[in-house]
Amino acid sequence: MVSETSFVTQVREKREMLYRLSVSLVRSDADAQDAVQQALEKAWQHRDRVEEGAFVPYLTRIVINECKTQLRRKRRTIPSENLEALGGVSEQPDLALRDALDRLPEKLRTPLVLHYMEGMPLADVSRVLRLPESTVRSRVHRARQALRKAWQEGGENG
Amino acid sequence: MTQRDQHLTPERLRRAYGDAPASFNQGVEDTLLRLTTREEQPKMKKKLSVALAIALIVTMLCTVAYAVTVLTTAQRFGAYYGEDAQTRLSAGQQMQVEQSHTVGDVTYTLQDVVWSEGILYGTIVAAPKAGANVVLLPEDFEQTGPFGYDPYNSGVGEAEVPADAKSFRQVAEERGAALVMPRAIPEGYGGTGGDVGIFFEPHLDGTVVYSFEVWGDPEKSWQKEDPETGKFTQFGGIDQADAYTLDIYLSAAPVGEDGLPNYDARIAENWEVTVTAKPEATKAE
Repeated sequence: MVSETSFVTQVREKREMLYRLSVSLVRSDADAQDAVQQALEKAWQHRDRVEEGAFVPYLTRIVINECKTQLRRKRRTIPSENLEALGGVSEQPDLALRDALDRLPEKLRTPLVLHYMEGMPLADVSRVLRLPESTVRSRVHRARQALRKAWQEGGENG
Repeated sequence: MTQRDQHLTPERLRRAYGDAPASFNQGVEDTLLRLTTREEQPKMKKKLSVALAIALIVTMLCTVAYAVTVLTTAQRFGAYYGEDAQTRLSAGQQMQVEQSHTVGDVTYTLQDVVWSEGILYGTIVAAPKAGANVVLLPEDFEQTGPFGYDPYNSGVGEAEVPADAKSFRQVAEERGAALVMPRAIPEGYGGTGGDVGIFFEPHLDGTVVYSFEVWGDPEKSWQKEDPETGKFTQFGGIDQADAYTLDIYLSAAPVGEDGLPNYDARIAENWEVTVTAKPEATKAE
């Protein structure tokens, strides 16, 4: 069971991670905000059935589900170049690198975001994505290779 | 190694998305405030008719009977995505299925597949193998969670949990059964990659029901929105055919006393299953 205090503390600790994860999936700050808020509502309702140590993977899974639901309901892609125009981004994101990340297939990008970028243990990523650990490890490796290639190509072209 | 290559550190990648904007942080804080200060509403128990209540009790007592009526794929996606999805899938190409495959102590039955607008949708029911004394604990669910209820509230499971609901672990102990964690996920289509979505939930009859959507070739998939009407259309990357072959990853992992699956002892197989169009199925597109 996750106490009210622990719920609030853990959400605040992981807020930036949840932002990066959700915006990497829905590519819009407004949709990311909606998805995370919906996920918090669901996680709150069921916090008494989640074990303390499993809360972050649990919440992460719900955030991913909410992001995918939003994408399917409202399939739209906002090129990252337009994000600033929407007034959504505050601290000077690296748009070239973000563009390279956006070009990765989702099945490679999300394991990369969770494990390599956010430091989530492989076992937790495996649980969140419902994939074997070996598959997660392999996808993170492939994602890094693909990202390096895409970024270098971006550098050569830009 | 180029200069760009040297900078691909986790910190560098995090900066690709920048910091969360103030509006995002404020939204989270507002949600936390709302959640922690609102009064908990007593959960409304659904009114059950006498007949339904009897049926429910009989189902719970029959620990070896798993022949529950499962909603169709169209109904399940309708509950998940909305009425439009149910209408669309009901008009799609319906396939003949009802094929089963057993992995370890779990029998998986592909009960219903629909092709619609380039996407394959389907439903798989996981049940204990006949004669196996196991209780299925779905992934993401806790052994201390209520047996047969859906805390993720996908819209198709029983979300209202009575106060006296037993946990998965309690049910297993009462039956002297082992907890087993099933998994059923299609591996894309035709080796082209592409998006695969699933949702699943446990039921009071001991089954775990999975629904999936497989988009197929991402190069052929598209989505667009009419800027004037806001109407959204989409198409997946699977061409319509008389038969489709799905590659579904199935597994059964024993669950330890700590409630965690032992993946080292997991039994897993890829189930290649071909479904053919029902004779009466009309071309949907």
